[in-house]
Amino acid sequence: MMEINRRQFLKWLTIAPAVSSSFSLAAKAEDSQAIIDGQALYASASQGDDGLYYIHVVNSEGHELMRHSVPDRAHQVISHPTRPWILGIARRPGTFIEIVDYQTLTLVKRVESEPGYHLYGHAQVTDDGRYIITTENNMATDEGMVIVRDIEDDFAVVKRFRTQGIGPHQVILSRDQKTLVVANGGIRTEGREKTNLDTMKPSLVYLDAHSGAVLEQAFLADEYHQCSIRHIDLSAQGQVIIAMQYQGHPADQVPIMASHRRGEPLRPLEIPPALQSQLDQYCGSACFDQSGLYAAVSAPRGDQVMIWDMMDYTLIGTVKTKDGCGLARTHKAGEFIVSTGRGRLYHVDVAGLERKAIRFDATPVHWDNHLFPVIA
Amino acid sequence: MKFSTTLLAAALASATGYSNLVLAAPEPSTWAELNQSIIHSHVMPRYEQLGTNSLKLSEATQDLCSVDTPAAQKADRLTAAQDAYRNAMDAWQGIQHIQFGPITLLMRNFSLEYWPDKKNTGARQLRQALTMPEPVYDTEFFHAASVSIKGFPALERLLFAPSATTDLTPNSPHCELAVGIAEHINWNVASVHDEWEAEAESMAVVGEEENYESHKDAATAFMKSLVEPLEAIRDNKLLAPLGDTPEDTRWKKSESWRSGISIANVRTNIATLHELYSNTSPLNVEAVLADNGQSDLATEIDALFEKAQAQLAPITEPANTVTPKQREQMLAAADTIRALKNNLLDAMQLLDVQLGFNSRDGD
Repeated sequence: MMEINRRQFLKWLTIAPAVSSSFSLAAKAEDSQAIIDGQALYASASQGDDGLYYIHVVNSEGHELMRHSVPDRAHQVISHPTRPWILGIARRPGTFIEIVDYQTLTLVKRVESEPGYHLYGHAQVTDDGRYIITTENNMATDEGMVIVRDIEDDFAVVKRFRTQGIGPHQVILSRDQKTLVVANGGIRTEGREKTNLDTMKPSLVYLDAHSGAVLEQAFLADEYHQCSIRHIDLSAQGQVIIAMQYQGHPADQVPIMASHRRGEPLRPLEIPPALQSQLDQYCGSACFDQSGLYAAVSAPRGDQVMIWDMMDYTLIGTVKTKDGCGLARTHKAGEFIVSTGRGRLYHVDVAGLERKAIRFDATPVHWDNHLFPVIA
Repeated sequence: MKFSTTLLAAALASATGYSNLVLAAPEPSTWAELNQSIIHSHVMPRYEQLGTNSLKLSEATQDLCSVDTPAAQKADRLTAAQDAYRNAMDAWQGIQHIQFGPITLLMRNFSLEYWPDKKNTGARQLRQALTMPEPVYDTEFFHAASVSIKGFPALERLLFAPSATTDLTPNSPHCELAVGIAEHINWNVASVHDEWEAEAESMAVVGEEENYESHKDAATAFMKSLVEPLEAIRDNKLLAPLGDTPEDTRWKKSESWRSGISIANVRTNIATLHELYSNTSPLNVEAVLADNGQSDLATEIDALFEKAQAQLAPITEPANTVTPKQREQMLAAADTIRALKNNLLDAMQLLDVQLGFNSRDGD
């Protein structure tokens, strides 16, 4: 096992400004993507043909800058906004957050969830670079939790908020750093087995990032209670796009995508029946483009990526990608990168609805569900 | 890359031990030949058979419901319609494993058979359809209708109801709906069969921008059809109705208890997958496996198919209760089906066929 680069880590701690331990967050002006040699960077988890699990950093031309082996399958891989760190979050019901420096290629820290808790594969880092926010399960009570860890206090847990639901999945921190948007999937599990499909009640909840107070909680109509709200993205304009996974019969006519704005009901998005019948009731990832006007939603079981106009809620078209699931916006409006379980990477843009292959220059891997821009 | 990766031993977990062997990767031309063999000696003839049997079912249902049927022949015609139903259902069981291509368009697969129907949607929808004022069961009706009353399960309820002889009288809603469903099945199947011509072509013309990227990619669709149904057959068709204990047994959860062919369905399913594995020509999966250095595994899988069929053959269709003997026989067959699945998964790994990553095990 590789050594933690302790000296490096301690150095950062000493150069970090002294801050009071109160949970205060400063908003960052804008996303800025990390660029090395003129190329934007992206991060994802994978499984190799060797059966091992990895987290990676690749650039927009498919050049691999980092491949780091993790103890088990990771899910979301995000970056730290002020340090050259990549955080790989264990897939549910895993317990590790693997933090790796992508410049020195050293392990910074493997954070473990507290006894009695496990992760759900998703996290955020606050724009000031100080706090890691994860969705977790309190296994004793089955309550969904948001857990806040202070990087400057050796990753100690400093806050615990209830998500007001079972099985929280993706969490997004609003740009102003004041609100946490959490997808409560609604599914209780033992291991990876689902145990409450008859009574599940997914929701989208907005929590005050400082106090954990519920600001708003939105539910689907009762008849759609088996539509698990799993993956979300938040636009700069405050719109949430929701990718769902239906747990009922494969032939039921139910929404598997929705949109939400504060103060409004959840708005299911209608997919044309001929297309929806191909998607196996399953959406994998959702992602707004840089402008916030368009969104991509992947349906890996249907081998499709849907491109939506999110202003008038219409499907612009689809791009066929076998087992495509990971989606990341690029710095260009209307442009996304798609990663697939077959190890492919593509540029996809709204205008042409065409995919352009990006040649990956390292040993092929199966890209896992999510892809994210590396922020600097 | 730059890290030492001694975190884990790279041993791939395997239920059977075969996957520690060396990877064999067939040439694209082998996959291309296998695809053509499967299409022409397996898929097309089976859709054709389903077409033929569905047409006969539609005709038999019309005969049963014809105003010209002499009273003396009514019982015979009901029997004939029931037999036609069993034949059509059997043909469907023989191609049900193909869950890609035209069958998935607009829920045709579920329109043919909405099952398992855990919430009993079929019964509720059928009741509603039969009691609606001035019922007309035409194309428009079926376009709007729930998938649960468009196919085999709903027709089975009508043809095999204890009151079928009295319900199914000419011009009755029961008769009209039965005729409508049988016609709808026939139309559905004919569309799928027609569209498979184009699907077959798209499987031959592969490329980066085509429907299938490579011959192996197209073959992967068939390999999924070979491997993935096994678990559903075992879990839904055998283990679910049996329950964990004899007290939990509910044979009415089985697929075709009304028409008394639940076990026959499983027999057809396994025989069909066996054909897909070793009896397509000129090339088949078994031969590909053997040609790539895996002849022991290839033979073992074939033997497991034989074993499962030998175990299924003597099982009699349970009436309402499942005897201890029937239970034992079914559990033994279920074990063999699981072993089959594990061996086939190993075979796929050895042939370097990836059945799906995000699509099979997402989060």
